Amino acid sequence: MKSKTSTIGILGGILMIYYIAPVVSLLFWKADGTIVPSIISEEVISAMITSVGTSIGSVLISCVLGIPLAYFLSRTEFRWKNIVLFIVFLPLVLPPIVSGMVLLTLFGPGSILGSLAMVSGVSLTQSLVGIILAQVFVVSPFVVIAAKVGFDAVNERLEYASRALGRTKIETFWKITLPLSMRGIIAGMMLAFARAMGEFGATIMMAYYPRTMPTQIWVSFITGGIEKAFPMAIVLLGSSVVVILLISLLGQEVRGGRAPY
Amino acid sequence: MLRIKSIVKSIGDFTLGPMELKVGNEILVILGPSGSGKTTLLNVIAGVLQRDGGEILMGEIDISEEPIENRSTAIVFQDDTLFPHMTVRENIMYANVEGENISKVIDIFGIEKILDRSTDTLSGGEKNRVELARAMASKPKILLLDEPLSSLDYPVRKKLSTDLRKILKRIGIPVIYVTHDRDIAWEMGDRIAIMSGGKICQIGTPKSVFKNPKTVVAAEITGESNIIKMVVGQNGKRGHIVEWGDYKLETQVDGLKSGREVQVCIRPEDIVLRKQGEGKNWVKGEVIEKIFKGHRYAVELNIEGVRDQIRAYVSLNGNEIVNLEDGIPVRVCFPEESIKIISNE
Repeated sequence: MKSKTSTIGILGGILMIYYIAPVVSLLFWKADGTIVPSIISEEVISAMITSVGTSIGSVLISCVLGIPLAYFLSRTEFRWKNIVLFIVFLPLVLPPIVSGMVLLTLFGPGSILGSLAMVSGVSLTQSLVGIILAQVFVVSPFVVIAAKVGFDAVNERLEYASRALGRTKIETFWKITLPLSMRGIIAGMMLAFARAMGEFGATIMMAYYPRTMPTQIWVSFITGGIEKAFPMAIVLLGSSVVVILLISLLGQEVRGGRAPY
Repeated sequence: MLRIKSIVKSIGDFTLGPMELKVGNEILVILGPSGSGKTTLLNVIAGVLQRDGGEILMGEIDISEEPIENRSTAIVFQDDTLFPHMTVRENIMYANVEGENISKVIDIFGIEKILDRSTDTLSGGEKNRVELARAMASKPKILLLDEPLSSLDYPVRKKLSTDLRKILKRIGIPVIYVTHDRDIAWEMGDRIAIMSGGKICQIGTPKSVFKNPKTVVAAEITGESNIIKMVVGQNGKRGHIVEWGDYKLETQVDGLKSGREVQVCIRPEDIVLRKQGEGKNWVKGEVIEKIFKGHRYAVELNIEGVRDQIRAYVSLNGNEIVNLEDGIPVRVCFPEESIKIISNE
């Protein structure tokens, strides 16, 4: 029994080290005096604002559209449910660059939607809208799947009990179901945000400009090597951690309990 | 008054009803084995399940099509349905949709000291009290209780069931109490409905249901029973004679067709065991086993000349228990009033 536990500990430990080592290595790779001026350069700050702003927007849109779908999938049995679930999983299994290509065929300058939007003065590519369209496509499945798991974990009898006490379906959803499934939803939001912050393949196809942090890192890397990309990578890492901590604290506040991880 | 008219609900192979039921300001206990449809019936009345046919009337108002929240029925489920993210007070206030003073409910159920506690710190008995208080705080016109005490230990259950009956009688609304526990049923019910295979097979006062079960299920769920196949013979002094092998037992049952095979129910506590005994309804038997049952012995018996094995109860201190060892021959009497003819259902 003890040797089994030791084996599990060793194997798990190796994986944990594999997660942490590159991050630590990045932090110590070139900690010299040139980093701070690079971090506060205009292009880095601009890319950071673009990434954080679009990621927050994408996660919020994913929640608004994804949470009702997750609730429906959790509470309803219907013939084509597996097909709907397959469709939800589709963006997760598509290579991001392919996601970008399929989105371009729908929203690109030559497409019907792209042309109509352009006539209205809105560009669906090479714009913040384009970045958000790409991010929502890639990250919303995280919200849908995690929220569905959260809703699945709420005993339906609690909802019936609530309604038998005179509360409507809507009241029951807001006051019982949503708070009790918030842990799953927050977990989904965290995953979605982290994924949106790091989204590169689909985003670069939809919008080379304005540059998100991953795009800026790539541009810096191919023009100046890892030295030039380094400050941006630090910023991306730091901002992701900060926002995930903020969402986690929000989850603690809502649940009145432990953080969702 | 709750009235159920021709209610039907099918779930897979199981069908509830068609069922007729009237419940006044009383405690009606639905007693039945697992899978008999008790919970389904409650869920249909509450609106958790939609009926396939029939009507549910509250007074003169048809509530069959109303959503759960508009039916004025509070339901307490078998498992814990307290909202875990709320304190006891918040659970109660959640039910108090009209914002009325609920101090009376809190007082009745004796939960004032635990109002600010989290629900996951409550004992089983406290949870039950809070569930019931919350249900009453919603001012229901009908209270539906689905085995609310089943998860409790015997002493807690006993105490709470006694308190609960007093409280429910004081509240004075129709209460349907579902259980498979006959002790709870005797204690709680003004009337008892026996349910089997999605139908109510017998309804009446606790005493009448116990004394005169109409079906095998009713006999078995209301107490221990010897169910024996016999054949209706000629008329005796007070009713038919039933033939059991070579024995001819007099009964007080009449109106049966001679020659028909019937099921007979005899309660173990009605059977008389003696070392000696002759005459009407006495047969010869042999003790197979004597089992200690706390406040009495259960004696398993072979009856001479028939293949049925029966069970009789004898008191711990009674004279009849002397020398009742395994293999001892005894005389067994089935008093005529204890022989009940029941249907096969």
